[in-house]
Amino acid sequence: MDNLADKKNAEKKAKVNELGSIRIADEVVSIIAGLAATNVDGIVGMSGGLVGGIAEKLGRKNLSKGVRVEVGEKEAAIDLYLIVKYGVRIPDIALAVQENVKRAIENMTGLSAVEVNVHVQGVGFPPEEEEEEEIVRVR
Amino acid sequence: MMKKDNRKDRSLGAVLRFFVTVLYMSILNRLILFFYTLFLALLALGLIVLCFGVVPFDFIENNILYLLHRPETIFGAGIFFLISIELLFSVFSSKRERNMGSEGIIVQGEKGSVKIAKTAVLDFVQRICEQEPGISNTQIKIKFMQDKKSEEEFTDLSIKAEMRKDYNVVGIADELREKITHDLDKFMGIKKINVDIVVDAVSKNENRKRVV
Repeated sequence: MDNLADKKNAEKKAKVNELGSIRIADEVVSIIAGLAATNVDGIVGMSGGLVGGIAEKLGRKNLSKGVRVEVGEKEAAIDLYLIVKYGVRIPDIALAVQENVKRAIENMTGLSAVEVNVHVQGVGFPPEEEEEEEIVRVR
Repeated sequence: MMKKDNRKDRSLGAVLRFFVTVLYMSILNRLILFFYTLFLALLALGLIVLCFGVVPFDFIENNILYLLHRPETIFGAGIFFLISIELLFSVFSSKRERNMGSEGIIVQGEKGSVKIAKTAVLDFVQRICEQEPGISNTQIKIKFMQDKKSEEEFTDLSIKAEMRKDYNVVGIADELREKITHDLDKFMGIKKINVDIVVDAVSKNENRKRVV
């Protein structure tokens, strides 16, 4: 009974044709969205929060970290939690992310991405160079 | 003399304003309202019980007479009265601005919205402050607000810092304010920003030169 309920929850889209049905799991959509977002130049990574961070420390890779999806029969709404690079213009980067994610979801799953919301959670700074100490010679 | 229609509109407006105010009440006021209504509900229940004679009236009368002679009753009634005034005040006062929470919207487009978290803006502003030579030990607070009437969004930034010796306070503050406003607009798309800089101390730490 639980397995049937899980299947219903996880696999929202089902295309039925004469050969059978096609179902796409929510996690698949999350992974596609996450990879499309991180491929944009200016994005440092996805923000997974505390749980995601602990899971990564324990060695578990989470490709759908920082992605929340709501998948219907024909449409999907995606929320992305990102960390951007310091020095980039965030509205431009966010627009590029929205376009890239929308294109990837529509091409790979056939779902229409009606909403791609970008949440910028942090700014990634480059590692600081060590400052040379000023040396004063005393004679 | 007011027309009947105006009076009707005003009373309807007051009722609507009450419900809107409850939605946007602060957490503290909501907590007070919770205990207040819980107490009133218990009082109403007690009255119902009395009316049905479940508890004898003599018992209640004796307890009331006992309580009326206690100083704690006056204290409790005073607190209750003050809480009532506070709740009445929060119903009828209306703040012009609304706090938008931990995320500010910077773009709302066809494809979706772009929001930026307070932590991202904090880190960014912290970085700018660190690059400014005249100040140190900065404490930054950020609020994303929205004007209720015009629905315009703006950001309130409050910076507390220590000034290093031999630096011009006013000059440094103006420079910092300009840089923050410029960079937040350029890199984050945050346009309306109010920057408040408070210099509350002179820093004791100085960059020391190594002597060889």
